[in-house]
Amino acid sequence: MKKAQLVAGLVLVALVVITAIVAVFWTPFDPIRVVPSQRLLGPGWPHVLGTDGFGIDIASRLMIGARTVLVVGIISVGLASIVGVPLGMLAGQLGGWVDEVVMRSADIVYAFPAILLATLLAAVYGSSTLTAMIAIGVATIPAFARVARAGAKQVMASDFVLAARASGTSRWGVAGRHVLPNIAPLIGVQASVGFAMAILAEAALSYLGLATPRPNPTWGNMLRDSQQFLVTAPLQALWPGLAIALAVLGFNLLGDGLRDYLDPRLREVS
Amino acid sequence: MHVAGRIGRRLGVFAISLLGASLLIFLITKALPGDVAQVLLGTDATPESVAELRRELGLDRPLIVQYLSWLGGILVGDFGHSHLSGQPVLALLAPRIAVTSWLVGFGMIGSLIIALPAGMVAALKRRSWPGFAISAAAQVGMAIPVFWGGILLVLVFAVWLRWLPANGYVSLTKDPGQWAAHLVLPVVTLAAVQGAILIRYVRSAFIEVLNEDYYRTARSVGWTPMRALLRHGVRNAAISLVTVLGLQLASVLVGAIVVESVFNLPGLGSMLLSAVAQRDLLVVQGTVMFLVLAVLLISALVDFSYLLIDPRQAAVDSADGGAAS
Amino acid sequence: MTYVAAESRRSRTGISKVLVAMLAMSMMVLSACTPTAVPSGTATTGDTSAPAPEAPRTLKIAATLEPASMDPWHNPAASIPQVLLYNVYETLVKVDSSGLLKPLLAQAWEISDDRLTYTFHLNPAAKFASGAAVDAAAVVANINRLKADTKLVDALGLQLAVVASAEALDATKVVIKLNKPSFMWLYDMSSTLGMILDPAETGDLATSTAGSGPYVFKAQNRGQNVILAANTAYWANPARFDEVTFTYFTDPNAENAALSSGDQDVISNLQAPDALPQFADTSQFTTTSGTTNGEVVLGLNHESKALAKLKVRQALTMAIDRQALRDTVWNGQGALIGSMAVPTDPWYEDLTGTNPYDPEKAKALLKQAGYESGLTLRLRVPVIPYAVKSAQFVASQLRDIGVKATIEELEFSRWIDEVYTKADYDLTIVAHVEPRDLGKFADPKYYWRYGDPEFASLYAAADSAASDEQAVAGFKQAVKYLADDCAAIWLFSLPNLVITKSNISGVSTNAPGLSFDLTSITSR
Repeated sequence: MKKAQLVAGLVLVALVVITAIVAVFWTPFDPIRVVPSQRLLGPGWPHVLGTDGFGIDIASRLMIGARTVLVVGIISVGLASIVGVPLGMLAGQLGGWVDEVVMRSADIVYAFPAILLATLLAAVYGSSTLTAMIAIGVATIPAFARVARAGAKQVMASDFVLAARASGTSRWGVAGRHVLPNIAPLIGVQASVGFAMAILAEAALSYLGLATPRPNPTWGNMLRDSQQFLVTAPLQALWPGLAIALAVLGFNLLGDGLRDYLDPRLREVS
Repeated sequence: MHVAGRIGRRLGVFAISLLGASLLIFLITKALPGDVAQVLLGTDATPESVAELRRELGLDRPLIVQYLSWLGGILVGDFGHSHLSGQPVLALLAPRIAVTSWLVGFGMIGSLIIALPAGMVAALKRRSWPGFAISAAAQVGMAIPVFWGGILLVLVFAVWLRWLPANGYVSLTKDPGQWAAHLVLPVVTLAAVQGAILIRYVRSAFIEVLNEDYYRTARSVGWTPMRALLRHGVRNAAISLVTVLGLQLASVLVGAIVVESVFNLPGLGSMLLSAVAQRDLLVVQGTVMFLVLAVLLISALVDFSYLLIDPRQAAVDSADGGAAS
Repeated sequence: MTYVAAESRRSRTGISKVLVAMLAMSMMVLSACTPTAVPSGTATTGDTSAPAPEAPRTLKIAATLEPASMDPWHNPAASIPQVLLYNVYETLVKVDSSGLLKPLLAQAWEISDDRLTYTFHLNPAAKFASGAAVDAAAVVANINRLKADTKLVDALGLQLAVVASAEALDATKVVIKLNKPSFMWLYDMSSTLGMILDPAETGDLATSTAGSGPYVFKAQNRGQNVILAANTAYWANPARFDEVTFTYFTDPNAENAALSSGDQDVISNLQAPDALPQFADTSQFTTTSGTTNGEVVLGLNHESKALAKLKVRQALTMAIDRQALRDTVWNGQGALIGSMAVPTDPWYEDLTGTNPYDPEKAKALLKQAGYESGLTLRLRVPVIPYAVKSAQFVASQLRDIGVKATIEELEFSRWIDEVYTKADYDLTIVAHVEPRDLGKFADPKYYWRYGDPEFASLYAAADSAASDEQAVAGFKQAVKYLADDCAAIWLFSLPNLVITKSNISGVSTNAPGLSFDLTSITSR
């Protein structure tokens, strides 16, 4: 069962990644050029999934959406881990007031929903994929910090670290040689889950109009635009929704599968 | 003594967090471009009239003075006045807080109603098909964007079947029947998504219990799995559950903001979005302050509840600074 | 030149409300028989003398762009007069659905031969909701109040500038003198400028009203709705509803869903015309499709280097297939227009043939203007459905001729600040819903920065022409000038798409002004 989970997750994630990479070089049709004569066609040939209200091929837009999803996930998870993991490690290793300060700051940031940050950034700089990514990334920092901290604490209490400290290894040495490698799997699991959350967050922000602006397609704004056609062309709402669900499912399954696969003990801290 | 000390310390931390958050909120809202005075005067603003209005509204004072005066006001319950309508911010927020509270409250309750039984069954039957089915359903439920679910529910129940209103809100005091009708779809949307997320936590919390000695003992003495689980498991699973609920609050609030947008509910979320668009700074500050306050308060309450549930466990957990996410 | 008003009158009546209602109903039957216009502006179509029902009659209207306050003199948002004009506040004259001036508070009026003196004969029955008569003194007080108001909205100030003086000759006769002839002035008086306020009212206009219309302002719930209540002391045909609620939706799909599910009774103007099929069932819904005064204008910033060149502007115009745009973005609804005039304007002529869609010619023109290697422009639009969808279409078609238009969607307040006030843009899209607003092109400070002196003089000459015919001819010339000079690109004219439940009738096909006129609407 666990294996099936991992495999299913890998397959879905691979699907998204491959689609995204292909989309960088090629899509069946131009994903932003308006073709009024081809409006609202149903699935068929050559438009496999049909066309939208502007006559643009839906499949092509979905592919570009996959590319965006990957970029958003990588940047926001990357941002969150690059900032959050060192902070968490610091808090876990040093303890004391450093720990307090880091965790309270994390609590404060955590109390700001990603939507709020995205709203404010969009208000200052205008909505864009970048503001969405930064907002999601910043909002995810506390999660990574907490995981890193808890993992670091566990590692710090373990025998081989105590031995290392006793034999004089510096703090940095301990961090690099013992803590980091041991919490890496945890971070990996968190990254996978974070990716899934980033996809959902970006979709919600797109829906509210706080992310990628026209004409570039994201699955979230494709869903938003399909709403007016719910009665006349309901399939339009199906494809991007399905894409989001499958991608999120894939990353979640991957994360869970990794977690179960790596070490049952570590489940407690994630 | 120890416990009292810890409570005191936790309160202190809560206060400092709130202060830090307020400063952050103030600074961020000041960074917004676009000018309240400009918006108020509309399309015919002249530089002179804008400057004059800024003076009237106190926007030309030094930043630190504006911050301290806002903070001071909050401490006595005066959140200032909306630049746009002149009404006191608290008066504007009060009905909004009510709406969001109903939505979040019922949503959380609904999610528990879904998650607790489902999670228990999933834990008990985890090696057979009901367990797999529930886990799979939970995974799918988590993967669906909350607004998509809402849109589909509106389409089916409001537009096609016409059983329920599509959007909008009627206050409880005005018409309880309509109030309930307007809340059904939004609450179900939120509860379904949150419930799906919770199922996994409930399941793993109960699985932990299943591995514990006291459970095995109870079973060996002849108790049915269900009884043993209920008798021992709930108390012990409660800690993880409470933690998760506390952590979930931020994500529930996010979900609530989106749901408010889909269903046109006049809650804090929609107030925030429109106040930011209109550069009504004091309303933005007040709304965010409330949202942040809610989350910080809940996490403080979560920490306090550890002490109630199990002081020993609380000692261990708080050494970890609260459970990791 | 004189204008003769209707002969039928409304009499001030008796004591009990029942008596008033009965008399009003019999008057309605009478007026349906006389072939003349009705002073209070009530439509005479389909007048049924149904007995007054017991349950409160409510009307729920779904609208967009919530008004910030109830004060139209200090806030230029069009959504304020949408609620207030003719419903809460009345004017001396009213524009009917064909764009003609009709009596309202004034029963008749004369214009002197030199077109400088207007004499209005007020309807003696007219009174404010407070009971005070709408007499000549009240009208004069209003004009003087506006003249003395230094914070009056700029557009209203410009319209008022032409008034030299106002004088009450007796209780029902007002004489207003202009300092130069103005064709537009009387039309302006049928809109926001002419709203007559009770001079005794000293409260805050932003939150209370003091008019003479069939409704009074009851409440505004910010972020939700505005509620009007029937004016029980109304001097003409009583209000058909006890309470009217305008609920504001930011999301057009939510607006549609609200009508579909029965929550709302009316959509005041459909913002997602692709959803029209959703309301196709005529047993449940009635769809009214007419015209408004709204021109969806693709504004060109004439201070921008490239756009200052006529050839570039022509190229951009020819690059856009406006019919396809209208069909794609607005589901084929709305008339195509070639300049700043709509089909209901008296000076309207079909100028859609000026600079027709021809991408090859557009490319050639760009080359001639020196931009063969391409051009980058900023297309900054407010977040309103027609604007963002049109922007996507426009950007795609401009891309086909080598012009890169980067789209920025701005929140409305930011759009007002950066585009409208500071003119920090190259291209923008917004609908201008005020009627007869071609004069905006004569103002070099307006956000298009179109300082063409020839247009300004054409416009001024037309406005102060000696006769109506000359004025209309002059405006026609001015409008054509705008089209030939590519002062802007007119994408289409916003249609009046009103969807109602099938039991509601009386919605006027065209919306010739800013008002969502409740006086003609009934429900069965």
